Order: sequence, then structure tokens, then C-alpha cells
Amino acid sequence: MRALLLSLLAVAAAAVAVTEHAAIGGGAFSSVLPQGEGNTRVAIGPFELDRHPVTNAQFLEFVRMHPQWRRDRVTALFADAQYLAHWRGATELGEPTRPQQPVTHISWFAAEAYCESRDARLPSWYEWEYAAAASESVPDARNDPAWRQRILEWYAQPSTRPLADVAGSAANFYGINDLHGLVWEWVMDFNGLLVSSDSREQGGADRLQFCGEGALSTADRENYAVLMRIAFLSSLEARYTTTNLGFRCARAAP
Amino acid sequence: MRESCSLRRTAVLLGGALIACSSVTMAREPSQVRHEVMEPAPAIPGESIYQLPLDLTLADATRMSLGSLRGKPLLVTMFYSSCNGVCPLLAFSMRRTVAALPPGQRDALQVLMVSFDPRRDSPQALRDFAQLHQIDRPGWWLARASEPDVRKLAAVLGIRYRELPGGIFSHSAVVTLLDADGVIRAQSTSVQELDPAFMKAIEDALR
Amino acid sequence: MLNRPGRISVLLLFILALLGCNDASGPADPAQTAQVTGGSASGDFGPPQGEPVKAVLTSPPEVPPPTGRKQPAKVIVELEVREIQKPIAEGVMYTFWTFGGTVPGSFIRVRQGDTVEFHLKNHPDSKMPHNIDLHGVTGPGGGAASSFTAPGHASQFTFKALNQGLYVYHCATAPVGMHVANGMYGLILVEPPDGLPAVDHEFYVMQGDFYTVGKYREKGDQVFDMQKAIDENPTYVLFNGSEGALTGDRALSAKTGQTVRMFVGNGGPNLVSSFHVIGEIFDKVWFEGGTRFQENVQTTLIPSGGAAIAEFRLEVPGSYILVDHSIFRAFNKGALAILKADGAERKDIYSGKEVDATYLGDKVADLTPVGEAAAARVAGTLTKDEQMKAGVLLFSGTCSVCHQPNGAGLPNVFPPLASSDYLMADKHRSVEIVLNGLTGALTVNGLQFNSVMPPMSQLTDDEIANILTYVRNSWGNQGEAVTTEEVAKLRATTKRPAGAAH
Repeated sequence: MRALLLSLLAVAAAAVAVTEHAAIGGGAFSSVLPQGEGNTRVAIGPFELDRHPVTNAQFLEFVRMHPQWRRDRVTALFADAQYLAHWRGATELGEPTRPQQPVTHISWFAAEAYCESRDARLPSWYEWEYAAAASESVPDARNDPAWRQRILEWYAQPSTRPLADVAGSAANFYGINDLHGLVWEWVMDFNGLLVSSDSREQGGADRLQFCGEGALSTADRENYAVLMRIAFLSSLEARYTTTNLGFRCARAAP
Repeated sequence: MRESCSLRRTAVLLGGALIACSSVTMAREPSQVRHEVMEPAPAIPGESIYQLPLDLTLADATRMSLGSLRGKPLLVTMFYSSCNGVCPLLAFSMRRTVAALPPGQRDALQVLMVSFDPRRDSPQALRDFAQLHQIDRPGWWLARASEPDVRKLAAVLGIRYRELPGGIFSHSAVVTLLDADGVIRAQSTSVQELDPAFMKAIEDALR
Repeated sequence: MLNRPGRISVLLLFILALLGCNDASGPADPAQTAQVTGGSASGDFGPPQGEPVKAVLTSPPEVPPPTGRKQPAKVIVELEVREIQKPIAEGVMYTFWTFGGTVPGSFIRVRQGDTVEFHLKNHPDSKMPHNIDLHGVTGPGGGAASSFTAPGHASQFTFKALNQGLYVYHCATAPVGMHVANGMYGLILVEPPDGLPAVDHEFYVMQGDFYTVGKYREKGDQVFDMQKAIDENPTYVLFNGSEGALTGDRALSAKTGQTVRMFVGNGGPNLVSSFHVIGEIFDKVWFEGGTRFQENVQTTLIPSGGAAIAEFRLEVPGSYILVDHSIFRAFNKGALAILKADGAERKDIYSGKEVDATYLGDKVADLTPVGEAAAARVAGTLTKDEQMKAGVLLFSGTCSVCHQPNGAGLPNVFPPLASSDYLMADKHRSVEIVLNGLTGALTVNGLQFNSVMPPMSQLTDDEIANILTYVRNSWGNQGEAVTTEEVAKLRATTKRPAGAAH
């Protein structure tokens, strides 16, 4: 009986909470993060990506279903002291937090757990970069100075303003919203970007520090809009949360 | 312990007697089959990495949960068997670290090395690595886990890695000391020579 | 240059060397060897003594007091990074990334041999991660690798200050040039073991170049322009992070007879500074912030990412203008600051009146009435009298060079403004001429002129309104005031010629 009720609840929650996702065909593209010295062509397989970041409402449902992820119960291993600090209570959003805002103050472990609960995972850096290279009209807008400048303008705004709701601005070429201009987003391999903390080190870095192939310095330093995203992700540990870092889920194409 | 990664040379494993035997089977001591334990354990600290449910496959193809290592201090690091860079040095360094401990303390320290590369590091590959690097003592495990679990373990240990074409991994080399409850007590990136501060932390944990 | 005893010593040594004297390896001139500090090899004075000390950090232009220490100490520095939106020029807002809430960041003062425990905190509202590279740190990255900090977090590292000197610190997070261009730099002074000689005033000034998408003084929210930064084509070159940071009522001040020491840094990111104080000579410059000084210096080069210490004594009262002597930066991009010296006249040293107005071209020494008029206009209380007071200062700074202080113009070259029929015939036309310039033939008071007036659109709406109000009510002219709104409307509805400012 209890199992039946629980499963009905699960179905109901799932029906409320699922984000539409967009299918993105695979392909080769030129990434700022080289695979080995000078090798900037990267191939990714087809995948699906959520159309917008996970919202406060969606994460609230998840926390209710998985109470070990409540902020008053989560373990220090998986989240820092600011985890979900912007909610009024452990299972309550409260003003001024809005249900359709992207959820922030979220650690990598919590984000990954949410995605796993939906048979998904966090996107890889390459998947994220591939999807985010698109503007509204073209799949790869990275050489368009106006597109780059728009992204930079977001960096120039202080984080003190309240976050907009998800899907508030136009979707990109793939039908995906908010890859730029709303929140930073976790990726699965955030701890594999291997950029030296001193961003001036360019190749020839202490080979033993990142053993195997030396620290990979990011290619195309001109594309500083993407560089800044790598710099941001490289500053994080998996349990960290910040006021402007959220996430969305991905899965390999069926 | 410095933040920079230099290899710490390991001492020759004094337990030469232990490795005289050519068998490289990593037999688990019966007292360490902990996931069968029935009595309630004391509350686990919030920072213990044993809160991460992780399924390990060992070189002898048996399975072990990460949490079953709770109860004794542990040195843990990550590697992959086809690694030509630092991983051999890492293995050597860990052997030397253990050997540098007073004899009475050595047995109380467990060692775990988990592969970044579950696709290629089958139990056989793990056995080959152990043989090549003369790793054969009780309480020292080479293991593999699923790719998502590997990412999570690296995340709790603060290890960075990524896979490159050709099965090569670029990764940081960090040895972590966990106390008996699985809380990180110290970390060292010093692979080329013994790290005195790290040695002291180990001895404190074993007391 | 050596003094006389020094020269004699060197000569003697030379002779001794020539004579192949046994004691050819004898002591060099003691005055020279005494000055060699031995660098980092001689800078470790052992472990810290006594209780840990919390470093006093100051906001520019203030400098913390001398440490007064005689023993190495453990010094705790806590520095917070904040991303703040504030004016870079009047009416122009920019998001600066700052150490300690200011551009340049807080001034840090320690003693050679101190062990510094450095805490870097990144405010939770920051968008970006940040770190710090202090040029006074011996160690990889100058601390950058050990201080990479996500928003809402803090890092800590410890270093020993082995070398004395004045050092720049800055953020080194990718893209580094952008972090520096947004204001992430400051100075750390590592005092020599015996401290610096006492002076009456110490000031903290730091030059930086800034790159915005909009033009110089184009109003509104401006953002960083990476292409201009790569092209090394700054929009603003400023002391202490904004136009007017050190002018008007924020000018530095001292008294005649006092000694002044300036700790001058150059954060860059690109430009080298030719630092000069108009009307003063540096009695001593510790060039590059090092241990040797040069005397009697007019202009000193401060490299990007470098610093210098300049000392001088004030004898004559007046306003002394700090500039980057690559002079277009001073007058067209804002690299200008003021030190006011109060005191009794010294006609024996300087007899003339202040000629600041014409000398400076675009700027006048005391801009207080200009600022007051702008504030009054915003408050809605602006009077014609206030406009006239502001207008006369602005006119003498900008227009009088050609039209003369009495509005008479230059016969056959520049038309008169005094009792001018052409000027008073059409108020809106006169505003357009100031904004867009005027080329070609015209008749003023029956006389023919055919010349070029360049556009003056770099002047703000307030400034143009006040100048024209003054001109239209001086030297026999009598007319209505010009309002800021009229100027703004004409600026928006007419076209600027190529090359003019906004």
C-alpha cells in the first residue's frame, strides 16, 4: 500500500517537474579546451540537453522526494554551508525567491543527484560548449564580435540583481534557453578542465603538476568569453555553492 | 605539504619478504569484510568520504564497497595502469611512504588506488600493474569503479582529471590520508621525495 | 652622480688598481657597498617575533602609517574582492572589480623580513573568481596559484617578504588583461629594515588605462571593450580609477614648507606612464620602487605593472597638477590629478599669477563652481549666476585660447564673441556649433572669416550650457541662459562629424 502511494507520488512529481529537452546532433567542432597539445578539434556524440536550467520549483520537488538532500540534512561532504541558503526553509521557497528562477546555491553533488534521479546526468564541458556556441540563428556564433560582446556585458553586471525566470529570453539555434546571461552552470567534468590557477601559465607548465600531458593551456585565448567560464569552473570544488551557479541535465541520445 | 605537485620517491618496500611471494592476489583480510557488519556503527562524521556509496571491483574481480574500508586509516589515490607519467612514481612513492613507517604501524594503514580508466583497467590489467610495481601486501587494493563513480571519488578527493584521445589521462597526482572514519586529514602532492609533514600526519592518525 | 669624496675614493681605487697594489682586492668605496641590500639572499631575518599583527590597510589616496617595527613579525592581511558599479566619469557608470572596494585597491604596508599570512576573500555577490599576484612575493605566480577563489569563498597563503621595495599587486585570473583593466591592482610597500625617513605627507596614487565600448565621456552604463584593450587604445587614462578622483574637493592637500612623498603605481594594463607634477621637481625619485634614488627629476617613467616613489618639498602655494606627460592622455582621457599647497606667497621663488587656466587647455585648476552648477542643475535649483560662474571657468579653460579671454577673437582668424551679431542671432545654432564645429565662410559684425572650429562635443551638456550662458551674457552680449536640456536635445538630434567625441 505504502509502495503504491509512493509510486503514485513519484509519478505525480515527475509529471510536474520534467523539463523539455532538445536533441542535439553530434559532430566535430573546434573547442577552446584542447585534447592534447594543439589538438582543438573535438568530436561529441548526439545528446539531449534540458531547454532551460533546473528551477527552484523543480529542485524543491526533488528535495521533498529525497530528503537526504534537504539543506538541514545534507552532509558536509556534499554541500557547503550556503547550500540552498536562498530558500526560506528546508522545503519552502518563500519570498522573494520565485519558483521559476533557476535554482542556485547548489553543489555539484546535489546537481548530479538531481539529474540521476531523472535518469540523466550533468552535461560534459564539450557538450555544454557545443550547445552554447550557438546564437539565435546560427549554430556557431563564436566569431561574431557582437555575440561575444553581449556575453561580456553579462559579466559586467553585478550579481546583486535578482535572477530572471528561466526561458525569459530567446532560445538559441537548438531551441535551448539561458546558456548565457542567466547563471553559471555546472558540468560533469568541471574538475577536468585542468587550467592552472595562475592563468598566465601557458604550456610548458610543470609537467609533474598535471601528470600525463602537462597542464593543458586553453587554446584561442581571444575567445575570452568562454575562457572566463572555464576560469570560473576551475575555481570550484564539488561541494561549493555560489549565488549565481545553477545547472541543467543532459543524457546521451537514445 | 605544498600545493604544487612533485613526485615523492617511495622507499623500497621493506616488506620484501611480503612480495617475495610471486602471487599478486590482493586477498582481503577477513576482519575487513565490513559491509556485512551488523552492529550499529558510531555516527559517521559529516565530512567522511565513506558517505559516498561507491562500488569497487578489485584486481581479483571481487567487489567491495568503499564504505567497508571504514575503521582503519587509509591512503587513497587515483591512477591508471597504462600511465607512463607519474603513476609508476606514485606507486613507488606510496610503497616508500608505508615502508618509512615504524613496523608496528604499517599493518594498521590501508592503501587504495582507484583507476581513472574503468574501460581499460579490467581486473587483469590491475593485476598486471600490481605485479609490475611489486604491490603485494594485505590491505593494499587496486580497484576500478564506474565512470560516474570515478568522477565523484575524484571530486571528494580534489583530484582533477580528463581523458584524452588514445586512452591517456591528464590528471593531478594527490595522495590523501583518511582517518579511521574517512575524514580527510592530510594530502600530499609530493611524489619525488618523502613529505615530512604528510608522514607526521600519518603517524598521528595511526596512533 | 657621485659627490666629491666619492669621486676621490673612486679615483684612488683606480690608481691603486693600476699600481697593481697587493691590496688590489681591498675594500670598495664604503658608501657604495653600504647601499647594496643583497636582495632576497639577505632578506630573511629569521622567524617572526612577538604576537601576530593585523595589517592596517588604507583606501587611496591614504597610506598606512610606518610599521615602526625593528623585528620581523607575522602580519595578517585580509583583503576582500568586490565587484562594484560606480562612476568612471561624470554620468558614466562602469562595473569595476576591486580589491577592498576601491581602484586602486587597499595599500598594504609591511617590513622586509615579515611573514605575511594573506587572506583573500571573494564577496558572494561577485560573478567571477579572482586571485592575487603580489610582485613582492617570492614564489610561483606571486601567490596567484594559491589564492584562486570562487565567489563566496576565501583562500589563504603565507609568504615572507624577502625584498624591500614598492610593489604592484594585481589579479591574475584569465583573462588577466581584463581583470587588470577593470581595476584589480594596488600597491604593497615592503619597508627597508630601518624604515623610510619621515616626511610630512604620504600619498597613494595609481595610474590605470580603461577601455569602454562607448566613447570618452559617453554617458550611461559602459562595458569593457576587449578589442580596444588588445589594440592598446584606451578610452580613459586615470589616476585612482575615475575622472575627478583627485580633483576639486578630492584634491590632495598639503602646506608649503612640507615634504611630500608619493607612492605612485601604474596598474596598466597596457600603458607606461611618464609621471610628472606640473610646477614641481622631484627632489628624489626611487625609480622603479627600488633602493636607489635619482635626484632632481622632472618626469619619471613608471612601467606598466611597476611603481616609483617620488619625494619633493613644497615651497610655493598653488595647485600642482599630476599628469601623465604623454600629454593627450592628461587632457583628452582624464590622466590628471591635483595637489593643492596652501601657504604664504613666496614671490622670491615664483612671482607670477597662476596661469593654470590657459596652460592646461581643457582643464582649470579649481573646478568647484563647475561641480556646484552641475549639482544644482540636477537638484533643479540652478541659477543664471551659478551658470555664469561655472561658465567663466570653463570658457577660460577651453575657448579662450582661440576667442581670447575678452571674447575679441583674432582678427581675420577667429571671430569675436564680444557683442557678436552672429552669435546672438540664433541660440540653437550656437549650441550646434559648439557640438559639431563649424567650417567655412561667415560674417560677424560686418567682418569676414573663413576658418575651422573643431567640434567640442567632449564637453558635457552642463558644461556647454554654462559656457554659452556665460558667453551670451558677457562683453556686451545680453541674452537668455542656455539649458542643459536644450543642449542634450541638440546633441541627440544632430550628427557629430567623424572623429568627434560623443
